[in-house]
Amino acid sequence: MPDFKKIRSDFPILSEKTESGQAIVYLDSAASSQKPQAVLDRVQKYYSTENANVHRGLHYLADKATSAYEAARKTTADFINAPSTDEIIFTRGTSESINLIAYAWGDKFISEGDEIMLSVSEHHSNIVPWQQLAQRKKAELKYIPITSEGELDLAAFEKLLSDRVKMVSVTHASNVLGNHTEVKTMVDKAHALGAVVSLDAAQTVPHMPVDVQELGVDFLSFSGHKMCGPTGIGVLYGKRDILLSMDPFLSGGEMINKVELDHSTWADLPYKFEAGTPNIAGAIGLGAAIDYISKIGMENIHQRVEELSADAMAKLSTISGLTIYGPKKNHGGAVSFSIEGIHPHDLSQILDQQGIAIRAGHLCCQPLMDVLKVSAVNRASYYLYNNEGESDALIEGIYTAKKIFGVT
Amino acid sequence: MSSADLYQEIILEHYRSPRNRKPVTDAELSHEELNPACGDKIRLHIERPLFSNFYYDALGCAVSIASASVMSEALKVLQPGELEQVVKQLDAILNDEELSWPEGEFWDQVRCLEAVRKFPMRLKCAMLPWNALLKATR
Repeated sequence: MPDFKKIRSDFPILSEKTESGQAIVYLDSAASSQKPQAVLDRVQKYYSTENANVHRGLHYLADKATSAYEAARKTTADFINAPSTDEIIFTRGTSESINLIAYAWGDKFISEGDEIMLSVSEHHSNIVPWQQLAQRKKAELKYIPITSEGELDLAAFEKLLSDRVKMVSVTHASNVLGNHTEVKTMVDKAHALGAVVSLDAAQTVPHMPVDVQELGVDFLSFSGHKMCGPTGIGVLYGKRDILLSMDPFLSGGEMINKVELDHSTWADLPYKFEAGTPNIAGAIGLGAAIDYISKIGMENIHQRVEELSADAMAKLSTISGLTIYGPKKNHGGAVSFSIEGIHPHDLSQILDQQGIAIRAGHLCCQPLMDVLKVSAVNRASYYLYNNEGESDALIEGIYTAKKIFGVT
Repeated sequence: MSSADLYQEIILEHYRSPRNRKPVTDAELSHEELNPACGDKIRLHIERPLFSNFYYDALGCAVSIASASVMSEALKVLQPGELEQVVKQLDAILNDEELSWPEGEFWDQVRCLEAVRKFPMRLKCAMLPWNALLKATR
């Protein structure tokens, strides 16, 4: 196993102190991860020594910027085992990736009466673009329920599946419940009936090896900022044939072949889907982040995060009046819980006074909150730089909150 | 600044025993307001003349519940025509520590919300019931 104690020291922000001098205990990586020095340095190097627009100029800096940007695309393609760099589109993040699918694929291939299948545990970003599409096309949304353990109900999925279903878009791992989806089984069954499968991998690509060819999905979306990379950069992987069959999403510069006064033709993949000057520094920073986590090893990171969340769940479960949501095993990095008598916002506020950052609220999953019959939850989420001592601090903080609220 | 500054006994007391809070059926519902950032919810029942039989039901944190409770009592010393102005003023005061706290019976009653000034991220929680009421009466 790598030296995770040493790895923590790669993240300068984790040595920062809060206004009142508290050490920062960062348990909110499922929302956004911290960045190692290597990524910060790479972005700085780009702006200091390579900055220019990409794919346009013929000068020295334009060549440096273009090479670095395209190298990041190659790094990204290799990282998820995409067959070709043409299938890697840089976006602003998972939300934009899913919107791209819903508009550029959905508007062309969804018609009245078609069905789009999601699950109740999706993030809003994997619900709202499909709702909008369904409204535009008079299509219907179908939701896969979850089991009492929080897993997607595969039996219900099979019952809902029919040849009316044209798109199945589900999360690879819930940002609330931490459970992982049995993707392979779903892909095989969906493909057998002609449906396209889109996977929201925002919570898994940062944490474990993900191989798009092995999964067999048609689309896969993730965000750079949850995997040690910069904000404002994300990825959409799409199978070449499907991307070729789609119309552009945004239009303007960069994405064209020939522009005449009354019509235009489109650039080849992947540029057809990258209108305007892209987030060059973001993509290069993402490439550096992938190099950084790949060097540690995705299997190692996965194992370490599982250790941390298992440790957290064991400690949390000793507290009376505390409910943990989601499966007991293979939980991923997100541990959501609630405490009787203390609203998540109040707990989060009290923990914040001790330097502990957790997330409180509906976690962008209002439909799932309705299923869980709560309005909000607390979530502690873990990544490669966290340690067991931080969970001890969390537990201590919860006892402080209980004392303030007079809850036993 | 410690959390104790926010979670003073008076806030916690209102949170534990909110005044004028009772279930609001769909038939009795005048207005429902959500805080989209956190999922908190308040349902109001309003009768005319305004505030003659006001009650609410709320799901939320200590700050928003306490604020709703304090509001439901403070309304009793308010003329309906004053609502718009006091909500605007309360929002401004909670936003700006430099502003002095106004005088009068109404402001004395809502003064227990003063601590929210030190916690700007909780302003939305404190203002949710007030903004809901304002929307409902416009």
